[in-house]
Formats: sequence, C-alpha cells, structure tokens
Amino acid sequence: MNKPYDFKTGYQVYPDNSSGELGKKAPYVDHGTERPDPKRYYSKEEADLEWHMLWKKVWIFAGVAQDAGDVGSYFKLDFGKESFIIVRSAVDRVQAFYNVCPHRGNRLVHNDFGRLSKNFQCTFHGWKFNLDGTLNEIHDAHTFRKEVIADVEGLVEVKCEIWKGMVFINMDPNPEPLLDYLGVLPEHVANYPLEKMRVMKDIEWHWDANWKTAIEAFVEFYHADATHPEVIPFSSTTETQYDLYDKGISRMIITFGASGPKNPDRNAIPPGMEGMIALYRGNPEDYKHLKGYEYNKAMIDTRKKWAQRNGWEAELAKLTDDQLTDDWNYHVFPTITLNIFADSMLIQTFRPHATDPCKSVYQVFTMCLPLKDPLQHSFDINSYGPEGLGPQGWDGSVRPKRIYAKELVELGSVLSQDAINVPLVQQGIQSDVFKGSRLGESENRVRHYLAEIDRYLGRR
Amino acid sequence: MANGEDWQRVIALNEVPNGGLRCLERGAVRLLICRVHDEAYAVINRCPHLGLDLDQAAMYEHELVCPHHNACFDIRSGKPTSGPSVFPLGGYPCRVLDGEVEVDFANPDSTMDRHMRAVNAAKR
Ligand code: FES
Ligand SMILES: [Fe+2]
Repeated sequence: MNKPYDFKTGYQVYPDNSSGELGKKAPYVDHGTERPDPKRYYSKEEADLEWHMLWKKVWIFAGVAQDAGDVGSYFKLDFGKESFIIVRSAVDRVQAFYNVCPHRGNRLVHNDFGRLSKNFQCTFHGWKFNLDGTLNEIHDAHTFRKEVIADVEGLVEVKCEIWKGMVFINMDPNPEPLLDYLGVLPEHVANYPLEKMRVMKDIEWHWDANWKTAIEAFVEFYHADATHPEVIPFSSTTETQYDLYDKGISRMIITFGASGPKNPDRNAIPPGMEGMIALYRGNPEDYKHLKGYEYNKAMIDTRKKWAQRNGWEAELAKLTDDQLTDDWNYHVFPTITLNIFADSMLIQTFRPHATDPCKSVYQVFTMCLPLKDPLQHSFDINSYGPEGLGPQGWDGSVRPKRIYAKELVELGSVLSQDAINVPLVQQGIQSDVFKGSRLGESENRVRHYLAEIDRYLGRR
Repeated sequence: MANGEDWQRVIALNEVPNGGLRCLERGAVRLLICRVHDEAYAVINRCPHLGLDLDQAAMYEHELVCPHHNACFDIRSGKPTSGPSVFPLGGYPCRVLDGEVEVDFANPDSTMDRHMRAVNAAKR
C-alpha cells in the first residue's frame, strides 16, 4: 500500500539509510506558497539590484583550476558587464584581476585561455603588468605628466579561492571565506575525486532568457517525464529526493540504473541499461539474474570494475554504492549546478547578460576522470544514457577548445531538450496574463534560492 | 609539387606530449611539433605578430596561444583566431607514419603564402 504523499517528507531515495548522514533527506524548509513576481525575470531595475546587491557580494564560479595549472597559465571569465583574468601567478598562488587596462581601459586578455612566459601586455599601447598584477612598465612613460600616472599600481585584484578544482572569485573586498560560503558542500562532496577530473567538453550557449529562467530549468526533475521521457525507464523522476540547506544551497538525488516506478513491468531490465553497462565495458550477461528494480546493482558492480581498470579504485572505494550510480545534483548558490557522478561531473553555469535582463550566458563543463584502459569510452553526461558515448581511451591531456554552440544539438541530447524550453518559458513569463510560477514541492529548490536572493537584496 | 618533396623523420609521436608541443631545429629551421591525439602539425617557431618565439606556447586542442601577447592560431590552417596577430602562423606539411612524425622540408608554407591564400579565398 502506498503512503499518501506528504509534502513535508516528499520522497526519500535511500529509506534504508544506505548512504548514511550524507544521503539523508534534509529537514523541511517552509517557503510558503506564494508565486514569485514575474518582473524578477525581465525588469532592468531587478537586474541592476542583483548586480549591486547579489553579484558583487557572492562567490562566483570562474572556471576550473586545470586552466591555471602552471605558472603563467590564465583564463578569462566574462561575467555581466565585467571581465576577469584568473592566473597562476606563482607555484602556490592563483590570483584574479579585472580584465581592464588602467591606461585607457582596453581589455588585456581577449582569448579564453593561454599561458604567458613573462607578463601581460596590453595590445593597445603596450603597457606591461606582471603576473601578480603589479605594473611592470609604462611604454614611453616620460611622455606623461607625473600626476597622471603616479597612482597606477597595476591591475585591480578581486578575491580568488579554489575548492575541489573549481575556481571562485568574489568582487566584495571582504567576503566570507569560500569554505564557509559553501555551507554543507565541502562535507557532502569530500569523498568525490572532483579535483582529479579534467575538462572533456566546454560549451558556451547564449539564451534569450534571464539567467534565473535558465537555471530554474535545471534544479528540479519534475520536468523529466515531459522533457526527457527517455530517462523514465532507468531513473526516479517523480520520486526524486530534494534537500534544502543553508545559504541557498540545495540538492536533488536522481537515482540511476534501476527500473523506475513508472515502468509497467518493474521486473524487466530497463531498456537502455544494458547498453549503459556495455559503455562502461561491463558484460550485460553477468547481470541477467538481476530484476529490473534492482538493476542499479549492475551499474555499481560495473563502475567498481571500471575503477580497477582505470586506476581509480582507491578514490571510488570512498563512495557509497548509491554514489557509484546515482546523480547527486547540487545547486551552488547562485550561479552553478553540479551533477556529480562517481567518475564524472557536469558544471553548469548561468551568468547574467551585460545589459539585457532577458538574455543570459550558459556554459557547461563536462568533467571526467581520465582513463587508463585504452578501449574504455568516457561517459558524456550531456547525453545522459547509453548514447552518451565519449571518446575512447580519453586521458584528459588535450584541453578542448571552448565550443561556442550555434545549434542546440551541440549541447548533447539531454541538455538540448532542456535548452529548447528555456527561451519559450521566458516569453511566457513576460506575458501580461502570467502572474508568476505555481511551484510544486518538487520545485522547492526554486523557492529556496529565490528566498536567498531576497536576503541579499534586503527583502527579508 | 614544384619543389618536389623532402620528407624527413623528426621525432617519434609518443615523444610529443598529447595536447602539447616539442621544439625542434633542423639547420636554420625552427619548428614546433604539435600533437592532438594521433595527429601532428609542424608550425614555425616564430609568432607572426612580433616575431617572438613560441617555445612556451599553450595548446587547446588545435588552438595555439602565444606566450607573449596571447595571439591565437589554428595549427591546422595557421589562421589567427583571436588576439593581436593579423598574419597567420607559418608551417610545413606534416604526417605521422608508423608512429614517427615526418615533415616535408621542401614545402614551407610561409606566413605570407598562407596569408595571401586566405585573402584570395575570401575574394572568391
Ligand atoms: S589601453 Fe592599455 S596600453 Fe593603452
Ligand atoms: Fe532537464
């Protein structure tokens, strides 16, 4: 007999506590039933308020530490109207600067990433800056009156910290330390080898939608049945677990591998899963004895063997069996989501547009543990499921160029299903008849981060 | 080809780091051998922006970034893709045979050649 749905408990994916404290359902947070004001998604005033009260205060994901690997390596982050350079200025130091030349304002770095042998040099009049941002040389300095250049120290620095191979910056001169800002995350994610993953794909996409409209399509799995019907056979959709934590952080756990409750015959092996086992070079014949509802065990066993062949046994031994197959998805307030798997992770970033609140920039990093087994294909999460076949024997040493996607298909099958909806939702939100989203309890992560934004904007 | 061909073995592919490069000199010719998985490319170790060397250049798949002023080039075509250079990067025909990288030294693809070819192609 099914228990009636209680919105305060929702669904728990590990009722037998198989992932211990970390997998437990977080206590209910009551954010009420009000509909968020649609103006938040298109008004210029709101975007300006967010810029000053939110974006200039929070830790912003800037990129991956891999791109600031050796001294002189740098990457650029364009964020709203600003642009930043993140550079490894010394063996043990990564720094971030506004990408603005103090002479006439030219952008110092124009490309996505690179490595400098000595210093930054502006392309306009050739002013030079050391890797640590200090001024190195003003070209023909004698042609300036002293007062004009007396106070030039160099580039303007912003705070920069690294967590688990991810680089964050903060425009606030006195922010709380990143590790405090991240709340439960460092503890929750401690056992995953995220810092050992390398970039397999790096795609940028521009949306005709506010950054919030975009991110809200990725923090609930209520949309899965309608948007991603191909995942129904092997994952939880309705039964996804949602957890809300302090500081606007939230999580959903999407199960993977076992026959979902919507399958007519839960004993049958879910379609596609044998292909998925084969993708990880497991033998589906070994798991014929399993029933559909317990087929996640096949994935768990296959990933353990994958770890042995590819040199990740010690790392994956720290994870629970659930973590070896399921998708633990975190929203790192406010601007990224992490879909974390044992061997791979999707970092999705949602950034405001420089001037237009009805546009935003989306970037997705597909991160994978490098492979040792030359026959092993990597798993390309952008196409979540057996068709997510990445390159074979991928050792992580080639850093792919960023793809500026022009067509949806370049995002991968699953992500493009999401991407189709986003601008259409934005259009509807801007309609005179739309009075705000009616959010279900499977969408409580939306209320949660909006409430945290309100705290920053001084509304609570 | 007008000059005939002069293929010379320069280095084993596995001595070039995947996703990276190796500097080589043959007489007066200074080359970078760049590797992307099983492919190799031979480009001239001289940035066409200000003529500086590219020993410390970084590679992002087929993009090579100059360590001095961030000029970016596609090593397949030599085309500048971003940054201050308006001229393309020079190179030589290059192939991989039995795990060995070979370069055709008889057919340098000088910066201006590629540049003019690109200009003419754009006109057509
Ligand atoms: S604007 Fe940078 S040197 Fe003139
Ligand atoms: Fe989705």
